[in-house]
Amino acid sequence: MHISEGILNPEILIGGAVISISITAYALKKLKNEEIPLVAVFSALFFLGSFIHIPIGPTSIHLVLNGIIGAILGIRAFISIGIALLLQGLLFGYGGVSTLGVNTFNMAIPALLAYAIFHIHVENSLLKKIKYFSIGFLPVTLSALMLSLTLALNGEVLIPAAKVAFISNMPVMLIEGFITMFAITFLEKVYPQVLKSIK
Amino acid sequence: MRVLFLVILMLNFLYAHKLYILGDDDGKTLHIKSYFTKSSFCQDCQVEILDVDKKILFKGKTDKKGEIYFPFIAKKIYIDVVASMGHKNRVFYESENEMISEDKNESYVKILLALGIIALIFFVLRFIKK
Repeated sequence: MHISEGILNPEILIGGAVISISITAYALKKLKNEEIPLVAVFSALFFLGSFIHIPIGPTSIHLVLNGIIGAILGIRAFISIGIALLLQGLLFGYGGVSTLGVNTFNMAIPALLAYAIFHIHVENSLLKKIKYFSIGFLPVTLSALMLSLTLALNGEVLIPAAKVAFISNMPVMLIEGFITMFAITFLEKVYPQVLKSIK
Repeated sequence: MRVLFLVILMLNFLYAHKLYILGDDDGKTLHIKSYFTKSSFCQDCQVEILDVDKKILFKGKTDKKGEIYFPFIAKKIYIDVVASMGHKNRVFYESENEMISEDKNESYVKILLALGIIALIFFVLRFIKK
């Protein structure tokens, strides 16, 4: 889901950077001292998620985990995701420094959707499961959509790449839906405080 | 005597135009050298690396010394070399070396480094926030 350097038009790069820096600055201002360890852990989780590859046919896909991160961290997900993306770009060449703003925007805005879904009050256990599944499924879907739109906005040449980017991420949407559903259910049972720690 | 001379000459001619292929690897890189005689290298010759199912893995052209390098990704391969004037040869190459994933260890170090940097960033952030 990382957009590499040298692909996007400058106006998109600048736009993405300005928005991401502004929201990250706001998130940093809002960040409380006691929340820092949790944000750090989720930053590490997001970073490591990219290394968990799942083979699909001739290619492989990797986890994104922006749903569960967003559900728990809210706007602070911008800090976690931004730092993890910066290190992925610098150390592994996934994405890059110039595309950091756009990539952060594409990953972290859907994380806010996860936060909103997480705070919908649901009593029924089946609906709860669907809600947790959506926390994983919808942010990845939105990220893939935003990634494809970003590519498509750069001209007709990138439209085929935009289609491939969306289609190849479809299995991730389902996988993340199930992983998030199990992860939140598990956290709810063993460590419910973590789900309530950030408001 | 004349016949024997002609046979030797013919054999020498055939020998001189036989295309030799030498393969070697260190577990990371496959090195191929192709030549007609010790002093006549197969320059700018088309080289194809095929897997055991004869599917092309890599293609390339030799340099002035008749050499070319490819990433080593399969232990059993066919090496096809095609020179000008229709000279060509195919050899089966089987390596005894284990494939070395050079990046694996490096990646682990980078991952640990990144996790350390993440911890450091947030440690500094915590310090600033105090």
